[in-house]
Formats: sequence, C-alpha cells, structure tokens
Amino acid sequence: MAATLVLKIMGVLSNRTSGKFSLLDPLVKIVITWNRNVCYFCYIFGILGFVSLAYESVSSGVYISENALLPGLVHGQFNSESVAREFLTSIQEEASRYPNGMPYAWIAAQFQQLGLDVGTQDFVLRYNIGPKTNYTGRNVYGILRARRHSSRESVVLAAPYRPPNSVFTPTNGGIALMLAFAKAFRSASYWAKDIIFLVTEHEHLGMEAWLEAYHRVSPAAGLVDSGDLKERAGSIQAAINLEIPEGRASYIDVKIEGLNGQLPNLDLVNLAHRLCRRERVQSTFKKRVDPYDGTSLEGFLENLETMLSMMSSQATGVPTGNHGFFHRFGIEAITLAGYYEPGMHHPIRYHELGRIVEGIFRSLNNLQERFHQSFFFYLLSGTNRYISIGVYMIPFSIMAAPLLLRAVSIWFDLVQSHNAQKDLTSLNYDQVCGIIILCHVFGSCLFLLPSTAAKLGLSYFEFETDESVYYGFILASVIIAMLLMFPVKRIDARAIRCIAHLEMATLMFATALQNISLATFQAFIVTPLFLGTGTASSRKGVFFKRLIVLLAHPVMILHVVLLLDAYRTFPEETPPSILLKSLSAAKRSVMYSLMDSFVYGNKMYDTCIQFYLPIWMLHWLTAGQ
Amino acid sequence: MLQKLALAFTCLILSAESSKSSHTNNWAVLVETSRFWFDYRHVANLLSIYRSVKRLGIPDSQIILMMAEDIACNPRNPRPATVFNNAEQHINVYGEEIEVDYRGQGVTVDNFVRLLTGRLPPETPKSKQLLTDEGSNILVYMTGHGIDGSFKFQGREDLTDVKIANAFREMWQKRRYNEILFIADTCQAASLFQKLSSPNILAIGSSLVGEYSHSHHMDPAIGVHIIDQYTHHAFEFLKSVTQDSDKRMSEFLEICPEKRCLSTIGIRLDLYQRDPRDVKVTEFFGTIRPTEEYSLDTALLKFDKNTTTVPLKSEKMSVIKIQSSSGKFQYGNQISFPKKV
Repeated sequence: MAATLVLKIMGVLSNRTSGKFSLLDPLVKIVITWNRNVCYFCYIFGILGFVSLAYESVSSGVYISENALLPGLVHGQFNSESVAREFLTSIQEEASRYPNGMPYAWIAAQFQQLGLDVGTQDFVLRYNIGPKTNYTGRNVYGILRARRHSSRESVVLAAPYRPPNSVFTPTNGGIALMLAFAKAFRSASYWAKDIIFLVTEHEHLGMEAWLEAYHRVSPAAGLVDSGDLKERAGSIQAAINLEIPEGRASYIDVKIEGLNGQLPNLDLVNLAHRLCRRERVQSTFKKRVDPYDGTSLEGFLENLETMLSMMSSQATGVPTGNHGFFHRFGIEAITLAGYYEPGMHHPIRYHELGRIVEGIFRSLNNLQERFHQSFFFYLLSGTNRYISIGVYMIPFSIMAAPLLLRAVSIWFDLVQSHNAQKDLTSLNYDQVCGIIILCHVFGSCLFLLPSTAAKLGLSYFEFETDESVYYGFILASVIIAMLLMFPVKRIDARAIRCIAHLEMATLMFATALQNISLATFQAFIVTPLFLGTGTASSRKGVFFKRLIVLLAHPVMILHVVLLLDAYRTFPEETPPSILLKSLSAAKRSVMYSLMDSFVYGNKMYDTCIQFYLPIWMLHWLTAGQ
Repeated sequence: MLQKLALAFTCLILSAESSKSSHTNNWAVLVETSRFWFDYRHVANLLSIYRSVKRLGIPDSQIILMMAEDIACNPRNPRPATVFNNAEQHINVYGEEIEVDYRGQGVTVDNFVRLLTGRLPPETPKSKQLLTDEGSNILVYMTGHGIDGSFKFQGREDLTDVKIANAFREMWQKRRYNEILFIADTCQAASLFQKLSSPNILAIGSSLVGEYSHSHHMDPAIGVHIIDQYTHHAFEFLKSVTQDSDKRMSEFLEICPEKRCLSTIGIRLDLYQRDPRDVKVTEFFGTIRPTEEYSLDTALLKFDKNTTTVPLKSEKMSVIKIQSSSGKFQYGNQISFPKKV
C-alpha cells in the first residue's frame, strides 16, 4: 500500500510539475550520469574514513566525565588476601563434590554466615523447538544492606559459577574474592547503596533469569520461567561481573559488549582501567595491550585491529560476558576477566584485585545519580582511546550513502522517462505493490519455519534440531529463490529496485543507531553486492547479476564469515578440515541465533528474517531485469 | 549651645578618627549551596568560617547558617557526625554545638534574598531572620559552585549578580546594615560583586572572572577534597586572631597570593569608604566592644581654628553621616561648622 502511494506521488509530482522539472533537467542529468562514479567514490571513501578512525588524531583520549566518581581518591582498605585464599580452598573442595552442578547450599550458607540477606531463585527454560526439554537452574545471592541509608539503590557484584566439568575456565577465584570482599566490608559504615553479591548458574541463562525476576519483566518470548525474588534492594545502579580464574592471573581484561551491541557508559569502563592502573595491574581491552607508540604505523595497525575486534564482537549482538544483560535495564555493567599469560611480570594477587573492586565500589558509592555524563555510543581502539558517535557516524554515513543515491538516481531516471512518454500507465502499480508485499509475507512465514522444520526433521529424518532447522532454511531459501525467478517488466523492476534500495538503507541507518558495528558490516558487504544488480543486457548478464545477489544471501554470508573465522582461529589446519569445521559451525549457529532471539531477545535473527531477507528477495527478483 | 557643642565634638571625633568603626553589632550570614557528597569541601569551608566567627564572639543568635547538604549525616561519611577541614583531621568543625538555620531544600535563592531584604513572612521564627539595623556590620560568606555572573543553588537555581546587587541596595535603603564584608569562595567569584553599587561594601572573591577556585588538598581517608584554597588560608589567618587583637583588614586582604592559591583574589574597595589598613578584622569577624573612649585634648589638638572645614584623613572618605539637631540623618561632603563654636 505504501509502495503504491509512493509511486502515485512520484507520478503526480512529475505530471504536475513537468514544467518545473525542465528547469531542473540539467541537475537531473548530472545526477544520473555521475551516479555510478559518486557511488564508487562514497563507498571507498567511507571505508577509508572508517579505517582512519583508529588513527590517533581522529580518536580521542578518554577522561572521566562524572566528577562525583573521584576515582582512586580514597585509600583502599582491603587487606584480606589470606581470607580470600581460604575461601578459594573451601570453594574448590566443595566444587569437587558436585562435578556438574553448583554447591547452592554451601554458597548460601557462606552468605548467611557473613550476615547478608540471602535469597535463592529457581528458574526453568522451556524449549519450544524440537523435543520439549526443560533446563533448570538456581541462582544464589546475598545482599549487604547499607547501614545508614534506606535500601533505595544498589550495586551488583556478580560471578558466574562454572562446575569443574564445564568447558569454560572455572571462576572460583571471583567467588572467593566476592566472599572476602563481603567479609571485609560488611561492617563499613559508609555504604550509601546496598551491595548484591550474586552467583549465577548456567552462564548467560542464569543472569538473564535473575534480571527478569528482579525487574518482573520478560523481554523475550517468555521461554524462561524466572519465578520471583523474595529479597530485593531497590533500583540497581551498576554491576560488576567477575571472571577471575582459580590460579594465577596476569592481566585483567575489561569486557564491555552487551546484548544487541549495547555498551555500558564509558565512565564505568574508564573507571575500571584507571583503578587497575592505580594498583599497577595490567588492564587490557579485547585481551590486547595498548601499543607503545600510538602515533606510529605499527601503533595505528594495532589500534585498528583492536577496533575491528571490538566491532566483530559487537556486531553479533551476543554479549561477551554476563554483564551484557544489564544494559537494557539502564544498568551500566562490565566484566573483569582475569587471564594468565606466562612471561608477564608478576601475577595479580587477591590484594590488588580486592583493592580494584573496592575502588570501583567506593566510586560507585559516591554517585547520587545514574551514569549520564559520558558516552553510551562509542568505539574503543584501545584502553584509553575512544571514538564517539559524532565521529564514527560520518564515515559510516558516507559508506551507506550509495544505496540512497542510487535510489534517487533511479527515481529521477524513471520520472524522466515518464515525462518523455507523457504517461505513467506503463508502470504496473499493482504488480509492484504485490511483489513487495509477497516478499515480506515470505519473510514472515519463515518465522514459523523453525518449529515445523524441527518437527518434520525429527519425525521423518531423525535429524537433530539444529540440523533440521539448518536444512529447513536452506531448502526454504532455494524454493523461494526459484519461485522468484519469473521475468518482470523492466520499468517495474526498476521501481522495485528503487524501493528495495531505500529499504536497505533504512535498515542500515536504523541499525547504526543501536549497533554501529553490525551496520558497518552490513554496509561494507551489502552495498557493492546490491548496487551491482542493475539492468543487464544479455541472459548471461542476468545470470551473473543473480549470482552477485546470491552472495548477499544471509546463509551465504554466514558461511563465508564462519569460514574466515575458522581460518583465523585454526590457521594450522588443512583447508578441507577448515571447511568442515565451518560447515558444522554454520549448522549450529542458525540454531543458536534462533534460541538467542527466543530466550534473550537478540534481534539479529529477527531483523535478518523479517527485514533483510525480504529485501534480498526483492533484489534477487529484479537482478539484471 | 550645649547641643551644638556636643554636635561639634561628635563631628570632631568622627573626623579625627575618621576610620573609627561606627557599627554597634555584628551579624554573619554564611551560605553553602552545593548538594553532593563530593562537595564536602564547601561544607567544610562554611563551617570553618562559622567556627572562627563564633570563637571571635558572634553568638549563634546573630549568625544565619545556610547549609544545603548534610555532610555530617551523609551515609557516605566514614566518620559520621563530623566534618573535617584538614586531612590530619584535627578539628571537627561540625562540633557538638551547631545551629543550622536553613538546611537542605530550604536553601533557595528566594529564601536567601528574602533573608537579606527582610521580606520574610511575619511568622518566620526569629532565628531565621536577619534582624539587623543601621549599626550592624554583616559578614556575608558564600561558597558553592559559581559561574560567570551567577552562583548555583542546589545545582538547580541561579543567584545572579544583579539579584545580589539589588538585595544589597534594598538593604541599604532600608538601613539594614552599616558595613558589609562580602566574601565569595566559588569559581569566578569576582563576577558576583561586579554589579554592586551600594556603599560600605568590601567585597572579596577567591578568583577572578574566567578563573577557577581550587581546592587545597584532599583527604584520602575520607576520599574527598576537604577544603578550598581561599578558605583554608582564611581559616589559618583567623586562627591567629583573638577578640582583642589588632590585626587589620589589609592583612586579611593579602592572605591568598596567586603563587599559592593558583587563582587571583578579586577585591572591590571602591564602595568602601574606609581604608582597610584602619579597619580591624574583628569589626567583621568578631563583636564590638561595649565602650569606646575618647579624650577632649586629642580632639581639640586636631581641630584647626582657621578653617571652617575639617580636614579629612583619607581621600576615600567622601560621605560622612551627621546627625542634625532634628534627629534626621543627612549626608554632606564636608562638615562646615557654624562660626559660633
């Protein structure tokens, strides 16, 4: 309907103002003839501009915006190295008794003995795709109440519990530190906010369940039954997640990326780095140390690699740690992860870690408002260099502009040809409108695909859920692609292409506001592919154009990206084995993306199926026509 | 005849010791307007001056204390019920006996201006009113956050320099003060008294327009900046002042040189008739003595028989207050005596 309206407006304007148009004729001619070159130029210039963001003169040095934080001003009082070590030994003993689970009762008892208000929360995840399995888990938390203040605000210190048999590195060091911290500061009289000590189970799931129960909301499809929490502590202002290993740690990595690419306030990130510096602890970003000389070429390349590393993890929309689920509640959160690297100076003791955490919490304690001074949208090219939204939007917009410019050029061309023929009746509004709606309906139908595919796959082929979903998608894509190969009149094809370009540009710019990395990668990959689908002269030309658009299919992009990632992660393997690895990863990733969307609310799958795929279908249909 | 003689002697005394203080009582209006924990130093500033002024004799009933943030009972204070102005934490300036007249949300621009001009509702308790008269010397001390031309109240409202000037002008017209010592310890403090036009005001600002005022030092045990440069030096100076000491205002004006304080002190002397060298510090920070002495001989020696005008000691003194026989006040540039003295 909207498409018909747009086309009718185009027609009316050109008919009514055909006289006026003749004045603008030279401008229109320039736009049409120069469009191709301008698009090339914009795309390349945009890429170069984006790369230059890592350059020292373009990025800016970080600073603490919020005066109230007073980072590192107060003397640290944490002196409980031995206490933390004792807790660690006890945790390890207890953990060895539950190789696959979490010692809930023991942790709850520890919190109780420390005099905290203890709470536990049971949660259930009910899978709705494939065999109906339920996953249960339990979180344990203790609240240190502020002595001289009412419980209106709180901060969270969290650690994910990992049993000895889990594939991830155990984080018992973080739990030990948490208990030692609680013991050391439970009698302090200067806390103005409650402190919630939280131990979660099942990684992301446990944290999401706890937050949903705390705020009494269910952002995703309601698959997680989170129960209710008895003990609460007012509105949470900030959260620190600890992933400290049991053994030695040489450096602290500060992780920031959250769900759907949301980032914490830059002040909190800078606070963590500054306090690490005060305690002479090496802090890194993306596990990379800052270059020695940022202004040199090597320094620039290192900064660029850090920035691209951040962008690749932000683009997936998957949080890099449990902290990622706090952001959408307006709670700023980061993860402090300890890693061991042999050869680095001296390992970090609990003394320093405790002082860092204490410093962060004393600064958070000073705050009387939520974080609001510093940036919420930024890119980091190091621990102390940032690029704000006002700077990175410019190269991105230049990179994404070609689609808009091409749409404008096609419109001008259509109007000009209509003016020449003096009638618009050759443009078949109904067919154009119908095709656009059809493609969007296909996209929405694909939403229903996974559950049916899983059922059919299980009953007829005995496939696993992820395999059946994967094959189902490929089959559906092939069927739709073959259906959409019917010929379309040239003029209709051009109108459809114009609208498809506009839609893609809208999608990219809208994504850029939330998740700049995803939008940049979209612009980078998709712009040349979609712009290459202009009218072709021969059947061979049409075939090649269709091939170009095929490269832009989400499943195709997924395979290519996973292949590159497999090559980067396993450089020593042979090409066939890398190919096999990437194929198996692709199978699982479709399912993961689906479950991420249902359980956590990750928008990648949703936008891909409901917006990107229909746009792709429109381009596929009109490729070369 | 006797009346005229008395008149002559009064004038002689006024002229002979032209810098003799003419106030009869002392008041202090101490204002702090910042609202956050990290503005601990503003409250410490305020209470340092409060303690100095109290020690030098001004009673609580004549001190109006306006404190916007309750630092002593703030949950973030690791030493509850105390406010220190020094990292060595020698002196708890909050103390055991303190009378805060305007606290918390009651510290507003409106309340402050009404307090100065006396336009408070009649049911306002006496402790919240500025009950001054034409013989009162008032110390007005303000600390908080300031910008060019205005002073921030509670992070929300602004007290502009125009409002301050108007308030003082109204005070002068209502004869609510004899002299005012106006001290501002804020950023760009000198901008606050730019627009003043009422006489008998000596204004000091801890920084000039375009400069910041800096804090003196921080206390790592409490975790805040604990006092500002200017007030720290003022407090140290006032420590050496006693009720009967002879220290002069000129010394007080020199307390915070730029080398130490990092900001330049702004002073406004043009509205002040007397020479600061002749004004004692206790005339503003302390209380007046109940008696004053003069001898006839000294008065006569200074009188020149041949002139009808009395020589003035200081060039700056251009306005003299004379009480005429009818009891009304007049102002004149010079005194001329009738020849029949």
